[in-house]
Amino acid sequence: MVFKDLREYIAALEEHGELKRVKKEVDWNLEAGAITRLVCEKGLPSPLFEKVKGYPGYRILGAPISTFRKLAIAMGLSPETSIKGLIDIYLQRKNKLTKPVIVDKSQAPCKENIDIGDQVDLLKFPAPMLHDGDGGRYLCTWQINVTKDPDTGRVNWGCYRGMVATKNTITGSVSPAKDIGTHFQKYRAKKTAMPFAIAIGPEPVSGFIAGARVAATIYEAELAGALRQEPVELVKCEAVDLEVPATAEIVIEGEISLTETDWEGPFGEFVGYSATGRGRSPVWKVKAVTYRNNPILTISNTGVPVDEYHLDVGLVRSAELYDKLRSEGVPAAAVNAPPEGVGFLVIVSVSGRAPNIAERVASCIWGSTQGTHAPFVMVVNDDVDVFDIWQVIHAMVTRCHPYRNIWKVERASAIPFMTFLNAYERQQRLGAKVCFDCTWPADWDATVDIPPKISFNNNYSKEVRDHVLKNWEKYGFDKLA
Amino acid sequence: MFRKGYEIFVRKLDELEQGKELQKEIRDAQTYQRKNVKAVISSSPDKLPDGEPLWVRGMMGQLLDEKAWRIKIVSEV
Repeated sequence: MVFKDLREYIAALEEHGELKRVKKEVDWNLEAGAITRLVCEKGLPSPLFEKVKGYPGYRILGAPISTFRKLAIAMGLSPETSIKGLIDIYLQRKNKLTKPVIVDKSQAPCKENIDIGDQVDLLKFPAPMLHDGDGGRYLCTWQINVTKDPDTGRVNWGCYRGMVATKNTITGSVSPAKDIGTHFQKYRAKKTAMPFAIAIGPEPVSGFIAGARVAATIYEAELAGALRQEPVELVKCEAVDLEVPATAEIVIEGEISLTETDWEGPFGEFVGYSATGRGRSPVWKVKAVTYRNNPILTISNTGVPVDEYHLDVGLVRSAELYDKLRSEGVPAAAVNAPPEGVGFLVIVSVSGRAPNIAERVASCIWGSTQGTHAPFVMVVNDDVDVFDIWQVIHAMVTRCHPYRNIWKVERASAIPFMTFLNAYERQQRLGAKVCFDCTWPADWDATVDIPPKISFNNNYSKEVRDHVLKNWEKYGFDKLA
Repeated sequence: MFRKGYEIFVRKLDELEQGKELQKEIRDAQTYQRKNVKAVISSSPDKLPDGEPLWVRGMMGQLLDEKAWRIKIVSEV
């Protein structure tokens, strides 16, 4: 099942019990944000706010893809699909990159309403005050930011927060560590303002992929097409030379100023803290806004896990690093960048035993696009299920020597969101990395040095296990899940 | 449910010299509309009885004082 737009996806969420229509009036000022935050923390259905105070005819969808169940639905799969199953499907589909198709403006729902120039008023939309203490009302928290490399013409999709500054300006970070920052530097060198488009409320796979960190050589629209198994439909913008998903709910077009800055932030971030503070950011000058009738604003309320960012990491980073390790000849059995690790932690299981395998795994991860800013790597043997955090913790405390098996790297690239760094280190993006080797040493004798594991699956014969499982309910227990 | 008055972001509380006319950017605590004002500020409601509530936030957004200060706007700049 491929969703043409966000509205079809909303219907599917509802069908699977993963959507809650909120008919009671809700305030854009903190109330919608607080509800969405609790939804994320409790893993609840996405709220569709149908009556937003002061904004008749406008709706807000909170937490659009905040659980693996919703992500599975977005990818057209059963909501019961396991995380490992989602990773396998991603790996199966991702290489069949599918070029987007351009549709005529008359076929694009995002052109149902067009405001140009003086007609632009960003506060026409119910931009929420998401967290108490945010720097302002954030209109852009789950969307696609489109920019183009002025030299190569290569287009990038990203997802970068954007705060309403005035009726026709947004302020948002243009991080040098992201593709948008690379593009911006090139426009700066040419002394030309950078065109941008922001597509809020696209169909779910496009929205999901925009937030993922994929190689700069991959056009996210083609990757979204691969994952959807159908091309994404794009339409030309009104005021800039860019294309956006034709079924997006709201499209904002304009140019990022090279010279003007305004206050942006603070903002409750994916690390679970308001981490980067208030600062000056480039001004995004809006030239046009187009939107569907009765538009739906999508909001991701980032904070402590789990929300959209963590799901992006949980799937894409896990899958891409598995692919990377295998392509480098590392015997990775499974990779999990658990959502609870906010993208900073990667757990890898390896088959067989080889000297210094953990160091090899960590070096490969840290040298990759996906793993550059994952300062914590844990390596376990493949008898440990990396998707079961309790098994991982057990492996760490029983196999990782607290002195010999922890490999620390003193200087490493960092991002300002790493709250364990001091103020100077955050500013200078100066981090550190650590690898926890939770594998049995390669030179240990398997029958003498490595103790036998005591668990139901490891210790008892198949005959005993089958007998116990067959009689489980007869012992008076509930059926095992 | 929501705070009333104004909010201001500062690095440290001592940036706000009390009892003197200052020029600062503040925002409405309910609409979040920003404005530059000349105003007198006090941490004590008694010293500025005709002032409005002013919530003082740090640069990470946290309230630096759980109690509202007071601000009397002299003019908008």
